[in-house]
Amino acid sequence: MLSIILRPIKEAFNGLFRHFSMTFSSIIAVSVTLLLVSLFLMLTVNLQEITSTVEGKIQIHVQISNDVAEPKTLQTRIEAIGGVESVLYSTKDEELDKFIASYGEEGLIFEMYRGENNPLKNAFIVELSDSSKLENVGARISALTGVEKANYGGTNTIKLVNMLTNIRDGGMALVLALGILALILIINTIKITIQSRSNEISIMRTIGATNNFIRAPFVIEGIFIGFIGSMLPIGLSIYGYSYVYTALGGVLFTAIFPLRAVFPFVLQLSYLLVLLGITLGLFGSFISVTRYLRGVR
Amino acid sequence: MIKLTDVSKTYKNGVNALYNINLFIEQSEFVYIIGPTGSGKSTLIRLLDAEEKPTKGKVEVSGIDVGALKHGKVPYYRRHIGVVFQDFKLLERKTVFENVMYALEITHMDPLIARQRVREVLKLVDISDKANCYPHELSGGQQQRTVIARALANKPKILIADEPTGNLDPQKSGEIIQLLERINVEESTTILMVTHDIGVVNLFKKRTIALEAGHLSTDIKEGGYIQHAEHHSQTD
Repeated sequence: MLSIILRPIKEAFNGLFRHFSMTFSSIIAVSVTLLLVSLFLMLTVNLQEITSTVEGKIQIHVQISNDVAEPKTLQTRIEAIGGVESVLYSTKDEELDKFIASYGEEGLIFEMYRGENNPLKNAFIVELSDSSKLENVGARISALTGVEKANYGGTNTIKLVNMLTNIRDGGMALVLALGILALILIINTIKITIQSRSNEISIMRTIGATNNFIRAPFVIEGIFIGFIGSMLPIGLSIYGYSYVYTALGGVLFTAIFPLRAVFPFVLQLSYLLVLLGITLGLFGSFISVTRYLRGVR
Repeated sequence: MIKLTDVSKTYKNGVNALYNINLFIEQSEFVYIIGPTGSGKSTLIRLLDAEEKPTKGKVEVSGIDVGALKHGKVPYYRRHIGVVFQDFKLLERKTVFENVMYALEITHMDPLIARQRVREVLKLVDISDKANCYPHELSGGQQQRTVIARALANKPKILIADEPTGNLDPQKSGEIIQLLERINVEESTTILMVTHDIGVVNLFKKRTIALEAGHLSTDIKEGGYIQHAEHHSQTD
């Protein structure tokens, strides 16, 4: 009874070593595929990280006219505009605090504007749910009565938002290209496997082996190839990502573009790659053998 | 044992391989099947081996309607017939011992008993000394013996041999036939041997069935087919 379980495992290892060149090229194919997948994951995750961080920082600073007695009504009207995520009220005193704080030690000089002399206005800090609507929302807020000025950094901010959209689109195109490349690699590997094994499979069937009996060792071989094949991309990903992260100081060009921290990201990536490798090996070999078996009687 | 009733076979490409074949072979018979290339010998074997289904008629082996076998049942059927293929069909990545062992492993036989049986059949066909060799390290005759050993491993009721002496010199051919005769007598195995070797047909007289262009042209129970057979061998 034990031999029913042990036989295909033994058989699989025999196959792996006796067909070493085939095994080796399959492992390389899996490695290259997973390396592409890993690269794609690192890119997407960081693009996501950067764009969401930047977008979270984009806000509209709305100065309110001193004539407005009831800011609550105005706040409700701003909140009603599409694309607005949240509206925070900030009194002119709080505005002065922020102003002074932004100048550090030297800011203390502005303390003399405290109270009656405060030239600043009460304000709303508006955060957006969709940064691409920045210009539109800014214009609509400006048009409201009681609003003195709606500041969103003007064309520069709009340029930044457009650039982020472009980066994301470009990244997605790259990711798609990598995905297609990976798929072609997998299909090719499976094709080669079928060709090199078709004779063997048909002989087994001719002697009287059932489909499951024929398939089992091939599937175990596939799982093993997938497992081993995932080791190289995991090593390269952990080393490569840590290296790039440290070299860039955890950011891309400026602190506005932070990268995803090395841990636990690389560990999650590693688990995913092992799982993908095994799944790829399992289904790849299962499909290739089954497809061949369907053709023979 | 083997019964063909009005069997015809037309391939998908339109080639008519067999026409209305009626044939009955009893348990423990030893039968030669001869005929020129394209006469339908290979198709007959493929029908018996369940590789092909008859277009018309019925192929019965040990009471099983071979043409009606479902895909999943075919492997189980094949374990009851041993086939010695002309092109050997040995697994290149396995040794002689493992090739024979494979035929027993598929039946989930206890490994200890199976190994014992492999040693027996290897001894029977006189190839024990090559047990650990791979097929590419063997001569044609040695590969032929390995295939016979594999076909015999499961103690089949029927052994089909497709040109088993095709690649051998006359002395080796004689040895193979004597081996088949011994199996035929000692194990009561029905033997169906496809051959071009007229010397063999002449020397070891057995029932001889001749196929010609898909028709069963002659069926001589007592053998002795020299003249006619030579004619066929010349047409090949």
